[in-house]
Amino acid sequence: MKYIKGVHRHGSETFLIVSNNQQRLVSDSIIKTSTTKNGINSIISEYKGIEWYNHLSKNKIVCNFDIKTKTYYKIEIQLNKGFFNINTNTSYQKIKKYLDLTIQHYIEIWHDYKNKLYSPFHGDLSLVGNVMFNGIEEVLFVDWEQFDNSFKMPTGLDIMMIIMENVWYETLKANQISKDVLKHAKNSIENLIKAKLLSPLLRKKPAQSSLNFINDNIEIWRGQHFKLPVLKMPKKYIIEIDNVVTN
Amino acid sequence: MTDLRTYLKSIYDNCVEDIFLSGRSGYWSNLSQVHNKEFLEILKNKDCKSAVKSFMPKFEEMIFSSKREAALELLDHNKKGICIDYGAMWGVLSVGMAKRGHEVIAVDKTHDSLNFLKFRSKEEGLDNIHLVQDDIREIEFKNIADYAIVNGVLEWIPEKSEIIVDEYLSNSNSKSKKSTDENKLKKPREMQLAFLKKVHESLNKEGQLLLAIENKLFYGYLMGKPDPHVNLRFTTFLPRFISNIICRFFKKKDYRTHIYSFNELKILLKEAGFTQIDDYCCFPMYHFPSLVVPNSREGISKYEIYENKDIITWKQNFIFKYFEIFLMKYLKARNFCPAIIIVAKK
Repeated sequence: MKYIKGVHRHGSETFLIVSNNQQRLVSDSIIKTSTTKNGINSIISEYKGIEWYNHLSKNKIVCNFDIKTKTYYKIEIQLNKGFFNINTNTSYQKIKKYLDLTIQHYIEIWHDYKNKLYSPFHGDLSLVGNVMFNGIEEVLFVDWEQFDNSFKMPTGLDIMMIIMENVWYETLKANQISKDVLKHAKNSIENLIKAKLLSPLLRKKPAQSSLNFINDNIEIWRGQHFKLPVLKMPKKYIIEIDNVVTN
Repeated sequence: MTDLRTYLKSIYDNCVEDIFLSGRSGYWSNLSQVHNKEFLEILKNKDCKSAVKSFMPKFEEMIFSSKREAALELLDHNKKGICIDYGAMWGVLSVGMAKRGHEVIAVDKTHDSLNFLKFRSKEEGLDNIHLVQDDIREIEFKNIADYAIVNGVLEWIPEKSEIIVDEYLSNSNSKSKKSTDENKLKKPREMQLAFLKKVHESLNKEGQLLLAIENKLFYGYLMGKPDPHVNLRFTTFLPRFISNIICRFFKKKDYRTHIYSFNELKILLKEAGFTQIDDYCCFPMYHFPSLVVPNSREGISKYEIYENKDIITWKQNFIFKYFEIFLMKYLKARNFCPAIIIVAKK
């Protein structure tokens, strides 16, 4: 069965098609296609990101990149069996474990960029979206549409965005950052620093400087920056995170 | 692959400025003839997008958004083929098929629309769109195409008057010129069937038809949303003779823009000669699809909340968020979806 799951979702200018194999002889796959400049660039970024990631990750993403014509690009990505997303309603207590696994995976994949100001950038990592887990606590980063390999984004920014996003989700529930959440955010950032994977450019005020880098390089998201939860975060929480990390 | 220009020359003697001319007149456009002339003048000095932006900004998305191409993804594009876009209008789907590498014959009776498409193809660097000004009801292509596109066109087949859409929808005494006495016309279904048979004939052995149309049983119409073709409530699903009486009373004309349910449409297509027919539920409408799932139990189980830019008022929001989701996600009432997309093989 084939169906169109999304059309220009979040302004992506790609078509998202799902192909379910009813006989289960072949894995289900998702297909992204586009005929626009922005959409084609997203597909190229996705392919480059997957190639880069596959080179470093134990779990590979199987994909087929196809330039049909110079105005029609297609990428078919096999879904990795056994991997799942965590639910948006998951409590922070449970999220902590997954956040730690995500940071650990980032440290493994980005190990060549220790102490580096800049590094390759996924651009859209989210615990409830593009980070997947399996039963044996392995992690897989998927959906590389925003991948940027031009070394203009600081090392560790992907993780800063995830940390801030999860703090923001918590504030939506409680209207404040609980001590527990703040403490875990602080520990997470410290782990990143310890692993030498938080760029010196982000160390002074990690949350605010992350936000500044996003705003200064908004073109990376090709018009999809409005979907980033981190940009919706009120200023007072940004200050709160920075204060707890620097004190 | 057939040399298309040679083939078209064998049918149409007259080709003026890259548009093959049938000599048959007709008009169907969102713009009046006067406005179209003004617009084409602007096009001489501006690029297509700027011209549309300045002259008719409300149509910008309709003309340029590649979102409208989504249904083309249901077709197989593994090999390059010939596609006939029936009633191409400003050509958003012709451009979509051309970008996918196919040779496209864009047929429309409105010369001005084809003129715009000529400008646009040039601008996009597409030399694989061939323009034909003809009445799609009269066309005589045989076993030539790998693909046929009938997007929002079937319902208009029985309407032979010259149409300027806004005037057609708003006026009870339409200014649209009546070229033929309605009494002399065949019944709408007969005309639609005859057209589909022509489409069938135009396809080669493995050819595929992509057809998109509103669903007459769309829950919105049942709740009182006006029929988009005559701007009257309930006419889509009431017995045709009652819709006819309503239309004659309010619009002083017959009800001819017939649309169908899934089953009725499949019967029509089978009568026209199509064999393998795959039908899809389209949300929120086929003009700008966001979600297209097979019309089956498994298919509708893939229904999920989608982006819908047309939701503005709280009432629309309520209907969408609660009613449609309840209807589709929980009741699996797929036969009441907004629009139908069909992929049928010869």
